[in-house]
Formats: sequence, structure tokens, C-alpha cells
Amino acid sequence: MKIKKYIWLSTLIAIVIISSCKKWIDTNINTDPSHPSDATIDLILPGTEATLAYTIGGDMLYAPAIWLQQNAGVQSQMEDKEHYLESEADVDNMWKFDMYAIVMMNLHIMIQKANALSSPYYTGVGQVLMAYSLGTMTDLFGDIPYSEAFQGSANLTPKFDKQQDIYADIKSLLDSAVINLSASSSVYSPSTNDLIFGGDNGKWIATAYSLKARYAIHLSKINGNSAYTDALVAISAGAISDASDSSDCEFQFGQASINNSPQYLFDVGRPGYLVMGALIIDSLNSTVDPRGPIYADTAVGGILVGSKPGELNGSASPIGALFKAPDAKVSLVTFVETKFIEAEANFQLGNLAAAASAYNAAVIGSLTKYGVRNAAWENTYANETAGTITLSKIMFQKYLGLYLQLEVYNDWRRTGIPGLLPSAGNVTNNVIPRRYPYPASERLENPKNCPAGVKITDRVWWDKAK
Amino acid sequence: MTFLLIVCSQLLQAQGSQIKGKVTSSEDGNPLPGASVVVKGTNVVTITDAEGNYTLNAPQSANSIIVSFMGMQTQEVKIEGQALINVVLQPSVTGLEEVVVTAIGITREKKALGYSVQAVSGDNISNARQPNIINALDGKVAGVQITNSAGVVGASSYITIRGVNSITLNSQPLFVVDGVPIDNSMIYSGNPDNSSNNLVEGTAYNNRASDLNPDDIESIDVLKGGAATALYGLQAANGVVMITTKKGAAGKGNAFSVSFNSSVEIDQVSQMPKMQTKYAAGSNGKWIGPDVGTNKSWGPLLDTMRFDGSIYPWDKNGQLVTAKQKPGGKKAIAYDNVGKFFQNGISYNNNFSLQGGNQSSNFFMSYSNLTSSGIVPNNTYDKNTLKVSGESNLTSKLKISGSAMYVNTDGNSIQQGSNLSGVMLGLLRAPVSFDLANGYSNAADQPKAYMFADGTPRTYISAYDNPYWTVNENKFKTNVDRFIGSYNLTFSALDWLIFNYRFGNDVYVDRRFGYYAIYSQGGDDPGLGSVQNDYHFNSILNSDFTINIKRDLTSDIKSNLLLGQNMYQAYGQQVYMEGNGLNIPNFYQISNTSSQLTRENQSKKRTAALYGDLSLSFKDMLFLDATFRREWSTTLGADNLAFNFPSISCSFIFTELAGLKNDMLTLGKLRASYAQTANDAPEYYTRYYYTLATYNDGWTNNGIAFPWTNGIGQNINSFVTQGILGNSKIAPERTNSIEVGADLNFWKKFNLGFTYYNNQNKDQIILVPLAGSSGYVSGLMNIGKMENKGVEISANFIPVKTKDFDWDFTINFSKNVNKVIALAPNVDAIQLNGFTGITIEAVANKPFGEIFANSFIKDSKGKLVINDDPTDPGYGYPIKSDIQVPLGSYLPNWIGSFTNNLSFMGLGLTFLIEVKNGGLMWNGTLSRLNGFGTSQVTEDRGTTATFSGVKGHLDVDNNLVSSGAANDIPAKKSQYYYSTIGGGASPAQDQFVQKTDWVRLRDITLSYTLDSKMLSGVKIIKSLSIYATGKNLFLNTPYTGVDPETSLTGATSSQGLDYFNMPGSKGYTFGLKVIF
Repeated sequence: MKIKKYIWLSTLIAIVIISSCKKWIDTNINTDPSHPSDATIDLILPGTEATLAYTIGGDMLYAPAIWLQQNAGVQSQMEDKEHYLESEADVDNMWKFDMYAIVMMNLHIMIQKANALSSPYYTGVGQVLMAYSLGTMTDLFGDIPYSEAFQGSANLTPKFDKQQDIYADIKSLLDSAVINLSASSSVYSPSTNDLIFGGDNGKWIATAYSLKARYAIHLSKINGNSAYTDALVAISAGAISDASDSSDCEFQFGQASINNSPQYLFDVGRPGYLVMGALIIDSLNSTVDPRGPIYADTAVGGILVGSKPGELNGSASPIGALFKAPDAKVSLVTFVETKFIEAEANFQLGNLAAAASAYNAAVIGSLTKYGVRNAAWENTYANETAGTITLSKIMFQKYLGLYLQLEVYNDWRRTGIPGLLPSAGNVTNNVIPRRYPYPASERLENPKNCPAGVKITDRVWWDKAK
Repeated sequence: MTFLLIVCSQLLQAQGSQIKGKVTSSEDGNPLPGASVVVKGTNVVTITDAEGNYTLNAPQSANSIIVSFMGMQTQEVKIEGQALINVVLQPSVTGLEEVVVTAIGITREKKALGYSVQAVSGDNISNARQPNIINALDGKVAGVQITNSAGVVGASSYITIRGVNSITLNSQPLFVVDGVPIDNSMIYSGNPDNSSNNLVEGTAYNNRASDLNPDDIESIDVLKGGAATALYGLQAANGVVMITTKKGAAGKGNAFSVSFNSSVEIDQVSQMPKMQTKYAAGSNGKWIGPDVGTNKSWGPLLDTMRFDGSIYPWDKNGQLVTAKQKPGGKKAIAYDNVGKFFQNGISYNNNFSLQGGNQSSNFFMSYSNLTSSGIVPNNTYDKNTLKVSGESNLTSKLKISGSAMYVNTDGNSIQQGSNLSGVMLGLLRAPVSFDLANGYSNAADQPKAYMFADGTPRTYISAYDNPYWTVNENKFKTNVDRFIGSYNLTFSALDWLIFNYRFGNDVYVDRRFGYYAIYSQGGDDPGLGSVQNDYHFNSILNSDFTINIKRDLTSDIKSNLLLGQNMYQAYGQQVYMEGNGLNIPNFYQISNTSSQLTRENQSKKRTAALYGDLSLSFKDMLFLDATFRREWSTTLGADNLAFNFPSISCSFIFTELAGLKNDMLTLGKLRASYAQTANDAPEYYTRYYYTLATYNDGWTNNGIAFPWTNGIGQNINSFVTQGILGNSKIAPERTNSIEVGADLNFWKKFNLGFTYYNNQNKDQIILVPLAGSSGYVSGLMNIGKMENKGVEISANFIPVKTKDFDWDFTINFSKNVNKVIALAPNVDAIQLNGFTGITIEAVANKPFGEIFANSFIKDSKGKLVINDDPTDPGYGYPIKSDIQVPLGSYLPNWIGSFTNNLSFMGLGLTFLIEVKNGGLMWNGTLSRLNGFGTSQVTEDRGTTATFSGVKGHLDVDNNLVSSGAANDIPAKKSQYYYSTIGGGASPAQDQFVQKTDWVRLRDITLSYTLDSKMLSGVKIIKSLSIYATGKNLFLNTPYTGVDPETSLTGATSSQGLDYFNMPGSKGYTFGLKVIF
């Protein structure tokens, strides 16, 4: 009798338990309430712009700026870069976590979504930024994945495309961007969420043409005169022509502590690691260049001092306040650069007057940009004519004008200007690095495709040895 | 739940019979208070009172009672209608008569177990006087490894059982208090966007099991292997620490007793790196004063320097000049910054408890207070615990019991590690010519020591905070309010059928408030000041319903079947607010900042399970136990929601066989088990998510984050993918474990336990790093394999046991061999934590926790290559390679302990010696101190050495060119050498990876106890004891940094990093314990 009762009780309990179990295990519980499952194109764009600018104005720039002796590394990891120690671990963050996983992946998604949403203005902006990203990456790393990249689990080990193919991709992306940005309408359009141009298509189109000119002239060692012709064609098609700097493709960092510029954060996080290089400071000093006090802060004694290559002079001038301000700008491509490209291309094609005039405009543009126009100085240094203009003047003024921009590293590899003395104590037998190593992460995680045995003294495809 | 209560209340049935009695010891006839009396086959249990008396209500169907007491043989007495049963217990000689608590809180005789379980008594826990309960287990259980992360108060301890079982998930055991799983996480703070970078900076954080009051504990049973834990399922993949808290003793009338335990402890630094005392601040032999600022101690010899006597805000004696410039000036002083900075930590620990009961009910109540200040000034940790528990037999069939514990902890922890505000960083880098304390003996309380009149910091280089500044101006306060409750209802329907329902919850709020003053170098906006509020809410709900069916199948074969159902939920929420750029100095409020950042994260998971346990015994000689659990977890892929945990174990007492029992081998038991256990996936990895756009390039504390203020002042937000590939098919990690062992007793004086186990961990859940070019940085996969094989030996000797003199000692030895067998395709290594050039990794075919470091270049014969290129600044020195190589794991080869107990006429001496063999640690502190010239090593500066090795160099293509000729190039131990090759920010780090073998006197206690007989004049006092304990008084280790028991990342599996870690401590405790 009793036992029957307990069997009845147990059965009842079992029913209750099994039914409560099913309710208890609801798979929706495993949906993260703190993160969205999707994001719209207007939310994707600003993050990619900021992340791109943060890396090209910081992590990616530190070593080339030291190698080109605009800056000098005098402490710790920057001292290593001064000695041309650049390991495969040093480039992991910029390659993997920044450029591929955030910037290019999200641009790729944004372009796809924009196409599906008939929003060519978003597609166009995405293509300009993608072309810029690919160009920056291939110039530093040579062959890189693109045609098979961003496919996630469909292809976890993309092949590496040849640099010449990447250059073809850049060109077609920019051409397509111009078409998209010129479309008569777009369902969705970038506006205030475009942190670079606020959705101004005209400025994006000019940027696309300036980039076309840049990537054309990068091939000067390969293509010879057609590189210069291509560059000039692109410039005349509508590259940045506004000397007021409001059309420069630049990213403005902010005062809020989460919006600060990379150079500012580096300076507070790694104080004293970087100072000014002697090459640029000596030149600024020798001509009493009005940009001197902008580029550099004074050292002890109120003068501008640069650290000689390998000297590790910790009391040399710090980088100028403008460049390490919390809300500093990072330049992607500018009027000044466009004018220097025009000057170089014309010079190489024998159009010396046009070269001199573009050169003068570029130098004055640089002074204008930093608000330090100086008639007397310009009269001496921005007053070239067909008879006085030289390639080394063009390239050296470009080196001065594009302070803290990656482009000077490309120019040096193409033209050998400025002439550089290897740093004392370098570990590469006096060979100044000509590229970045491939990152350790890509070597380990994409082993069958990532080129092996590449050294930082090797040359990328367009950097043909003469 | 409601339903069950209604059903049960209808079934309240007739009374059983009352049984009373007294339990005494056969040795001296003294009563045994706290002995447990169980009605066999029921959940009716009581504990004897201070006079050894018990009373209980046995169901009519009850046949016998089982009486057990730690250290005594368990006895079963037939009831046969008796109302008074006095029991005399014999001392335990084999240890196997003990009753231990196994999974789901089932008490079992140790001899019936086919796997190893080790119990630690509450007295052993309490007597260790360790505020963190994990530390109290140190050396007491074979197979358990414990690492105390630092000697500061409120620091965490890391515990693993039988090695590290999961490559990337938690490897620490589950903590269960009175049948309720509790949280033992170590939550670290800092901007959540920085993730695990926060682990190497910030402060020490506590692990939550330390909230328990050690004086509340009756016993701890450590379940080690898969068979012991399989019934617990998912959460118990790494073993279980079963904690049973004290209960009141039932007695006649309203008997109760009061106990009071009060102690004071003084702590000191146990070991510090050795510092140089000869050279002043400066570089290349030239003096650099603090007015210019330097962190280098490469200046002139102090002996050659004189104070000029001028007014100099950095030194009351004036500025340092050369002896020539100021002949007869006061000689320069080597200030003892390190010695002066640390203080005696003082802790007061008071514990008060009250217990008692009557025939049907009992209660226990305790209050404890710990007030401690650490060896670092202003480091505090206070804990108050309040606990009430009680049980009552409402009828002979229905028992309710429950317990409620409230804990509040409150403390201030100090910045440490890789952190410009870290006190060890600022302290050990200080040149000996700079007086951090500015001549004050109470510098930590004297603002003039670390602050100029205008409020700016007084330090030797503006990049680092003066440690006295940090302890005063950079606070990090934590306050935890926690409630743990357990509610239990037992219905003994029949003598062979028992229903039990238990519900438990563990809820806490951890509120953290930290700030950096203006001018501080730490925090997210160095120099400008910042405020952080970091709130964590966590809760665990656990419900277990069991049916126990016990039947004797024949007179020889007995069976017990347990069926159960479990529901579990864990929920966590974090709200983080950070404000940067203080407007009003010294006013630390989010509203007083120029910019703010907020983050909110939640996590929730549920599991449900059905389980069963069938035990069979044959003639008290052969025991067989089979368990099965089927569990569902919400964190798994929809196709893999449910999974099974089977186990089978067997115990064979072969000395029960006729003819095998003899005087030498008094007891022999063989045991074997097999089990499958599992660990589920972390929450929210079954799909793909977008995240707020943030990025940090690794150079700075915080990078960038949205929202962004655009050119026209609008706030723009952004969500992007950051490349974590979800997995909708994720399944649990699996462990197959085999365990065999023997327990032997010889001459009734010597117990030997031996266990061998082999745990194969497969389908390890790994966030596999992916090629960035795929667009993803990592993806969650079931892919890794790892194994842990090992032996555990536990030996206990009782050389002397007489009425007045007892001597016993125990040796525990354990050796675990871990090997990562495979990670993922294309993945040879997974980085757990570390710095550039030095990382802790899981590497295929190596033990877990391999330390990877870049090393010096060696030739094909393994000889160091010495640079023979005279044009190179590295001429004559070894050459650094950029390739990181594995050097060995932080895991030890073996650990052993020796516990000795002597007692004579109330006088007791106990000590515990621990030995650890093997295991490596990166002494990153030394690497940096060499570079700065503050380590004692650099006192040989200027001397010339010929490094042993072969001559060679690297050519343009980085190929080694070496003739193989022995090196004969003399090279100077110069500043260049110590800051780039023999130390500095990025030297070959292999030279700083050191052995951490140790022998230490973990604790030693001398006590004197007066029992009731001795105190017969003072009726009110039942027992009184005084004791003195020393902790860590002796340490022998080749490690040259702080105490080698240290962990920069606290209670995580990335041990083995010492980068300006806080030192360890040694302590002296004096206490008094009275029972009324």
C-alpha cells in the first residue's frame, strides 16, 4: 500500500522534473545581450576609419619614421628599431588585429552590404579606403592576401597575391570608387558618420585620384616613364587641388580620452622612447625652416636637437606638440603630396617648368598647412624655376613636407632620397630595412601560403634593385 | 518546488523511537564531542555535544546506528529496541574506517570507494590561520597544487588538482559548500576593452573562495579524479573541494557551547631581489640628478660623491657633486629605499561561535572578523562573516536544515606589476642615491616625502610614481557583499527510501572603486587623473532533487541506488565606468572628469541534469559503484546540447579474503576506476557578434574606442566585427580518466596510499588563432588534446600513541606529468599571457605552461656564439636571437610535504615542510633592474669578462658565421652590456628564466591546551588553548627574485611570470582559543 503511494509520488515527480528541464534549457539564453548580431553600414564605417588612421599614424609608422631618420628611437623597443631590429612579432598587431580583422574585413563587409542595398556612395568610400589599405599593406609587406581574403570559415588560409596583382586591384578599386561616388543617387549615404569627409563625395573622388597618382608613381622603377604619365593623368583627372587643407584626406583624433591620437597615447604610455632624428632637424635648422618649431619641441637649451642615427640621444628634441596632441590629425593623402607627385612626374618627364611650379606650390602648401608662411624663407626655398629645380630638391622637400607620413619611406625606396647613413650599432650590417617582415601569426596560422625566409633587408617587387 | 512541498506535507507520518547515548574514546574514556551518529539507511544524523551525548529520532524501521569520529574506527550498533546506546570508539588504525563526503554530498565509508578522496579536518584548516581557505589546504592533500600569488593581503591563490586539465578554460576545481556550488572566480579590473592586458598591471585581486571563514569548517574532502566527480558533471571537470561546515550538536535539554578563537599575526617580507648600493643615478658614469630625472643607476660611485649642502628640493642634504667640487662635504648616502618601504603587516582575527541543540534540533552560529593591514603601507583587507545554520527533525521522517552565510570584505589594494604606478616598479628602479622617503621615517603618512609643496610628485623620474605617492594617491578599493544559502528538506519515507531536496544560492556584489590622482603615471589618462567604478554582480542558483533507494539484495550483497535531478544557473553582470581627466583635484567622482567610458557585460548559462549512482557491496569486501549523468548546457551548440558522464569504480579489500589477513598487513585494499567527465563551452560562442569599435595597438594602456566626437561635435557610434568566429557545433571538452590505487595498513601504525592516474583530455575547447587574412583572429573549436599522468603517495606513520604522548607524521608526494598532445592544425602554440619576447604558452608535445623566450644564438653544438665582429657594439658579447624558444614549463616535476604532529600532555608541536621540485619562472624584474643598474648583479660593472662560447657573428642574411674557435675576446660588463644584452627591456630573456625549486617551512605551531579535566577548577571553561604559529619562516630556493611562489596574473593558468610582482610574506601568529 505504502509502496504504491511512493511509486505514484515518484512518477509525479519525474513528470514535473522532465517538463521543467525542457523549459529550463532554453537555447536563447545563449544569445549575448551585450553584443549585437549585426550592424548596419552606417555603424561600420566610422570604426574602420578610426582604426585605419590609428595604425597608420602609430604602430605602423614608428619603425619607418625611425629608419628614415625623421624620428630616433632612444629607449627600449624603439631603441631596437633604431638598430634595425624588427621582429615578426612586432608586426602582428598591425597586420592581424588591425588591418585585416578590423579595417579591411569591415570594409569588405560594408562594400558587400552597400552593394546589396544599392548604396554606391558607401561602396565608393569603402573602395577608396580598401585601396588605401591594400596599398599601405603591400608597400610594407610585398605580396599579401586579398583575392581569397575575408572569407572566414570558407577559407581560413588565403593565398598571397603578387604585389603586381594587388596594384592592379588598387587601380580597379579606385576607378570603380570614382564611378560609384559619381552615381546619381544612393539609398544610403555617408554623412556625419564619415569621420574623414562628412560624406562629401567630391572630396572622396579627389582623394581617389590622388591615390591613383600615388600608386602609379610607386611603380617608377618598374614602369619607367609611364608611371609618371599615369600619375599626371590621374592628377589632372581631379586629384586634390585645394591648397587650404580642407580637402586633404585626414583623420582628426579627439580630445576625449577614448578618441586620442596614437602619437599622444604613445607619448604618455611610452614617454621618452622617441625623439627627433638628426637628419630632419639638421636640415630644418640649417635653413631656419619655419616648420622647425612645429615639427619639434626644443631640447634643453632652447634649441632643436636631433639624435644621430644610433646615437640614442635621449635629450634630443621631442616630437612637436602639434603631432602628439590628443586631437592630432593623421594624414592619409594630402594636397601637398599630390603637388610633390606632380613635381616629380613632370621633372622625370622633362617638364621642368611645370615641375618647379608644382614644387613651389607643394612647399608653400606645406607651410600653409602648418600656418607658418614666411615670405623671406619661401623666397629662397620655394622659388624654384625650370633652371634650378632638381629631383633631390623635390624629394627632399617632400621628405620634409610629409613629416610622420609613411609615404616618405616609399619615396626613399624608389629614389634613394634622402641619402641615409646607417645607424650606429645596427644589426643588419649597415643595410637599412627595405620592408617589414611577415608577421609571426600569419607564418604560424597560414603556413602553406605565407612566404618564408623573407628578411627586412629584402626588396618588394616595385623596389627593383638597380 | 511548491508542488513538492505540498506532496511531502501530506505524507507526514508516525513518530519513530528516540535513542540517546554517549560516545567515548576507548583510549582514555573521555567523551567525544562532535562525533557523528547516523541512523543507517536514512538521512537522520546528529552530532554529539561537548559531553559526547547524542539524541536522535530513529524511524521505526531503523535497524542500526553508525557512529563515526575523525581518527576513530566507525562503529555500527544494532538498535534492537534499545533507547540508550553508549558507544566506545576505538582509535582508527587504518584510516579506511573514515567516513568521507563524496559527490552530491553523499557520505561514504572510505573503504567502499574505488577512487582516491582525501579529507582534511576542520581543526587542520582552522589551525593554519590562513585567511584564504585555499592556502589552508597547502601541503595537506596529495595531488593538489596551490600557488599564493603574492604576500599582500587580499591576494588570490591558484589551486589545481592533478594538474592543468584545460588548455584555455578554467582548470581550478569546483568549490561546494554543504552541497551548494559556490563561485571561486578571480575577477580582474580595468577597462574591459583591454581584456587580459589588465592582468599584468593593476592590483592583486582576490579569489572568491577566500570569503569563507576557515573557523566555520568542519571538514574538507578533496575529490580528485573523474570517478569521484563524474556525478557532479560539467562543473567538476577539474575536481571538487567539498566543504562541510560546522553544525550544532544535539543534546539533552538546551545544551550549548560557545567558542572563541582570537589571534594576531605579524607579517614581514619573505624574500626580496638583491640591490646594488654602490652607484649613484646617472648614465655612463656621469651623475644625473632627480631635477633632470633618470631611471638609470649608471652614475658614479657613491664614494666619490658629496652633498653640496645647498637647498635642493629632492634631497635635504643638498645636491650631489663630486668630492673635488665640495671637498669635506657630507659623503653621499646609499639610501635603503627597499628596506624602509615595507612594514610589519598586522592582522587581527577574532572568531566567535555558538552551538547547541535539543533532542530534535540543533543550531550553529558564528561571527568572525579579520582586520588586516599588509606589508605594503595602506594595503588593507578586512572580512566579516556571519553564519547561522540549523536543522530540525520535524517528525521522525521529515528533517529540514539550512544555513545562511553573509560575508562582507573590504580592502584597499595597491598597484603592482607592469604599471607605471606599480610600487615595486617605482621602488626597485629607484637609484640608491635618491631617498624616496625624503628622510621621513613615516614616509607613507608624510606627504612631504612624496609631494612638493605645490602638490606635484617628488620622484626620481617623472615617468614613474614614487611608491609612497601610489599608496596614498592611487587607491583601489573593493567591497564585496555576499550571501550563500543552503536549504534542505529530507523525507525518509521508508527505511530504504529517502527523498531529498536541496536548493542553494550564492549571490554577491563586488563593488570596486579606484582612482589615480592628477600627476599619477598610472591609469588610462596618465598625468590627468582618473576614476573607475567597476561593479560586478554574480549569482549561482542550484537545485538538486534525489531519491535514495537502499536494499540488501541478499545477506551478502547490498545495494544503494541514488537517482537525482539538478538544475543550475550562473549569471554575471559587470558595469564599468571610467572617467578621465579630473576637473577638481582630489575629488574622485565620475562627474568630476572630462571624459567618460562605460561598459556593461552580462553572462548567463543554465544546465540541467539527470543522474544516477548504483553502489553494490559484497561481504564488506568487494564494492562496485557505477554512476551516470546526462547533462544539458545552454552554452553548447544546438546539436550537442546534451552529453553523458559515465563512471565505474571498484574497491576490493583483499585482506578480507581468508588467509590473507595477518599481523603485518592489517588491511589491504585495491581500487580501480574509469570515468568520463566534461567541461562545457564559455557563454555566447555559438554564433558571431559585432562589438563596439575599439582598438589598442599594444603600445599604450588604452587605445581608441567609440563613441567618437566628430568635427561638428556629434557623438558617432560604431560597431564592427573584431574577428571572433563563433561555432554553432561546439561540444564539451572531454576527459577520460583511469585511476588505480592501493591503500595498505601495516602493523596498525603505518598507512600507505598509492594512486596512479591517467587523464586524457580531448576535444579541448580552444579559441584557435586564425590567419588574420581570413578576416578573423580566432575561432572556437573542439580540437586540442592534453594528458595528465601521475602518481600520488600518501603515507601516515603513528610511531607513538599513548595516553599522554602522541606522535604522528604524514608524507604527501605527488608527481604529475602533463603534456599538450595536439592543438589545432597549423597551430603549434597558444599564447596564454606574457610580454613581447617572453610568453607563457601551451605548446604541442610540451607540458602546459611552457615559457617561451628569445635566447642567445648558439652554434650547432649548442655553444653560445660570441660576437667577433669588432665593428659591432656587441663585440665580445653573446648575440641575441629574435626567435623565441621553449625553455620549460612553470609546472613542477613533483611536490611533496611532510607534516609532523607531536603532542605531550596538552603541549602540541605541528609543522609542515613543503618541497617543490622543478618549475620555471621568468624573473622579468631582474632583467629590467640589470638594465637600470639597480640590481646587485650590476655591481661588477666595469670588470672585464671573457664569455665562454665560440667566436662568430651573423652575416647580412642573418646566417651564422663561426669558425668554432673558443672565444677569447675580453668584454666589459658595461652599461651597454647590462641594458641591451645582459638585461634591459628586450634582451635575450632565456637568461632570466630561473628555477623555482624550493624547500619551505610552510608553518610551525606550538600550542598548549588545557582540557576540561585540567580545568576542573574552572567549571565554565571546557577547553582553553594558546598557540603560536610561524608561517614561511624558512625558505630555500635558487630563485633570486621575490618569493618564487608568486604570480603576476594571480589565479590564472598563466603562471610563471614575475614582473615587479609584490613580494611574498612570512608571518608570526599568536592566538587563544577558548570553549565555554
